[in-house]
Amino acid sequence: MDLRKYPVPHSQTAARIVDGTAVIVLADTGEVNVLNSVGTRIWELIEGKHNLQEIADTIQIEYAVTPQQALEDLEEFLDEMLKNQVITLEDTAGSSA
Amino acid sequence: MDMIIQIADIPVSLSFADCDPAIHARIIEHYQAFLTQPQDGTLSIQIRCESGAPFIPPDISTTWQIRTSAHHGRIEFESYYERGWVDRLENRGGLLLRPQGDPENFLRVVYAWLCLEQSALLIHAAGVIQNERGFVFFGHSGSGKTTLSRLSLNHTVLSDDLVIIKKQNKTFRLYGVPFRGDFPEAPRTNAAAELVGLFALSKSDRHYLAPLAQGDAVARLAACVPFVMTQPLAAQRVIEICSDLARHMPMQTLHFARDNGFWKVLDGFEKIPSAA
Repeated sequence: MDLRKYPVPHSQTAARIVDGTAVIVLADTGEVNVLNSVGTRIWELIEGKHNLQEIADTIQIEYAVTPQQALEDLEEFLDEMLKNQVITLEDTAGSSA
Repeated sequence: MDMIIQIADIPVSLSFADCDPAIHARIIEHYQAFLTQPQDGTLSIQIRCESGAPFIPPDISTTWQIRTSAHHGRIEFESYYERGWVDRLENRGGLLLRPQGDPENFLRVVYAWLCLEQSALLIHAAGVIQNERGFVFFGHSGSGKTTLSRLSLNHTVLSDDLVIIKKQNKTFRLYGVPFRGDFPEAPRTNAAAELVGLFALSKSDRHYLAPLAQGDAVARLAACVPFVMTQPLAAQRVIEICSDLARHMPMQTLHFARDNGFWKVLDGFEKIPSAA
């Protein structure tokens, strides 16, 4: 995964953080999902201003995990998000989604 | 000949063309409790009956198919024996019925969208009024909505399948609908009450309430909103309305056994004073 990329919510995604939990609706199926605390924190950072390396660094610091662990967790999370078309990856930083 | 139904204070006019009088009479009887008088601004839908091939080939191996979409104010609907549309800009629509057809599923879809326009929600849930207090019990298919409804016949059962929740003057009201699920013999009650609580259902061997985190409550409730969730803007609106509900309305999990003892748990239930 190219850590210079900037993840942003997919234009077809509906989401909201409710009382510290991200609630996300998958675009195609209308399926509703909730993210755990780490997933919610990553979701907060997915607004086009932080690239993947920056997000991994933030997770490493805030959750006191190794850089390797932070990257692995982030990649696993993003793979799932990309597969379900919840996010897209951009080459440059954009405005807040 | 026209008839006007009104569900959750939302009127829809239905006119019939080329329909067997027996079909017309059946539909009038079905919606009898929800008929109202003509009023301005009512969405007008013409129902036409016509023989022909099914719009979707029937397939008993799958769940009941309803294809619907909404773009730029136009709602499209198609099922086996019904094909319809509504243009919200022109405030009119049409429904073509095959002889086996029934307007109910079309009306469910139309009302799901009309509700959302008014920041209301049509929800897959059982609704019961007890002592003028509205209770909503939601959950996936098989969670116990029909069972709970059958166990609540000493109160006013609004539906075992669909109800409408609508915010009015900083309070939420629960409305009955003429739509039924697996409990068709239940009366079609046109009633409403102030909503005092929403409960995610869980079958158990005893009756008790358990906390439900706000995020989980919003997700589980939104997952019970039919027809509109595949449209991103609509889904966003649904989540916002559910969040508003979760902030102002107690949402818990009701674990219940197969007897009406759960009402003893709910008898002492008090709504949290609204902060709105």
